[in-house]
Amino acid sequence: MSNQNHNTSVEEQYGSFPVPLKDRTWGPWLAAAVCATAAIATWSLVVGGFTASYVGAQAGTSTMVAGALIVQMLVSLSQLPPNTKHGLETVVTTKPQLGVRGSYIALIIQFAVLTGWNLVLMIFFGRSVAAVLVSAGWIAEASSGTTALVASVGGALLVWALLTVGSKALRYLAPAIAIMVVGIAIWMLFVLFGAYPLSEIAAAPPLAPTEGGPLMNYTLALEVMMVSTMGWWAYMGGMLRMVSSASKAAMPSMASLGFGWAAVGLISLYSALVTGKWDPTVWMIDLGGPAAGAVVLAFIALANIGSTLVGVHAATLGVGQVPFLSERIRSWGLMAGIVIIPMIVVLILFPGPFYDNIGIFLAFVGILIAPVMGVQIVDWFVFNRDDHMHIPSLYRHNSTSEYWYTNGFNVAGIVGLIAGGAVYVAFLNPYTFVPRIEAFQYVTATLPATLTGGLVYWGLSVALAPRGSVPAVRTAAGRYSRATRS
Amino acid sequence: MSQERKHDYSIRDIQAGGQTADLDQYIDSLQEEPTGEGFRTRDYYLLVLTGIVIPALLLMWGID
Repeated sequence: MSNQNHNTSVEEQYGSFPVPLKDRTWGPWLAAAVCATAAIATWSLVVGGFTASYVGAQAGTSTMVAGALIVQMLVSLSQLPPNTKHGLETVVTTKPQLGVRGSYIALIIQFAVLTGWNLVLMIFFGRSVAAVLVSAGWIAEASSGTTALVASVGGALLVWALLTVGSKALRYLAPAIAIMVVGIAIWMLFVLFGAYPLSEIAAAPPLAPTEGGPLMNYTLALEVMMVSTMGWWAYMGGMLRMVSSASKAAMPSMASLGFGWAAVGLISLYSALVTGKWDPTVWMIDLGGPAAGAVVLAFIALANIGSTLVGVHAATLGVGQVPFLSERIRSWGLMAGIVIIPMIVVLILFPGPFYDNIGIFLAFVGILIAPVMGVQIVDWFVFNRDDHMHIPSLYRHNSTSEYWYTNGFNVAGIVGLIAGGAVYVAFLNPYTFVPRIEAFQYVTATLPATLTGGLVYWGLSVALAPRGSVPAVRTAAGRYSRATRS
Repeated sequence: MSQERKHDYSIRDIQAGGQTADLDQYIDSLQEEPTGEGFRTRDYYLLVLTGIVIPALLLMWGID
């Protein structure tokens, strides 16, 4: 029998500490459903619309699915070992590589990614509500802005209410949401294919290709999907720490967070190519009238609120790593509220400017997460850290931690992070999303940044390790009580 | 490996009690927790197939 008190959630009982093995009860199907709930939302549609700028239907289909699968494999390798072996959430998994204080960089990355994507989803949800109500004649065009704002903030507050019950909300809501949004997504595809024959979709040219040539546009489309998929790194621990083995989590990770979210994005890729509009609340109303718009609105409401639920859940676990907050705030619901407040501030004060600069936000994700993935993959699979992890040191915030290194920072990990980020910027201008060098079209920016992060971490770890430590598990200037050859 | 945990109290209870010694004991006990399973060989096959082979084939098809 599980030791978990069934009157409290896992979050209330353990907070951001590891979930014990006996309480990690999610099987592959539940994990797949929760991952699908997170994956399928209007962010897929936003990315599909971006892709239509660079390539047509065939190239777009291949770059979207391939880009998502490639990066989700890297995300899985960097997160599943500590999530499923030790029940750890995302931010705490970075302490061995970045150091106790260095892990705050990961916390900032995670919080920015999760809050950024959550804002995209809630803003889109609010605008969709307003668009459908205007098209149905229920509100005037002039009041659509106010309606969108009220709906966005209302959606965020609903997420907060659902989250007060912690991962139970994910467990009970995820399968139903996943089935409904997949069903509606398939129906939207049928409506589109009914109005536009496949031959017309396949022949449609890209909307705004760059002058770099077909291969450059092809790689740009691939990069859009790769950098977007990297965002799952921030979500993994919050979901998959509830699974007891990597085997149970690998397929859900690849199927839902890799293939699933790319497949939904194909809808907006195809619609953008033939109608010029990627937003389904626009083209579905054109094709099916207000009734179709209402169904699309249901899709957006379910999908976006479900995904935001997962995102705020993961962010709350990450913020729980901050001693100042975790020592003062006992309530899981209150902690979730602190995570949601910045979202609501942006939703009220400047939703438009944020939404109009999603591309910059995506580039920011790539610069920071790509090298972190490389560093973590080296640590788990070259240094075998996962087999030698000192779990108590992950929760000690001073020099008694094995992961304190140099004043709380692991030089090898931090330099690897900076070097990988610099390589990303050297290959692709993150502000304009224009490649800086010809080599980009052959290797993307994400892959060199990930590789650089890993190689620099490996090299510095070996170079800075004290003499006598076992090479396979030594890391930069750390303590090696269990790793040192005796 | 034993699956019996050495404690059945909540970390929230400990934090609410404000007893540093108990929290230290809880943190130390984490090292004794049973662990889940890592990747097996078939999982690596799955990741290579879905993360490298299929994307490579798709990219060759799409570039035509």
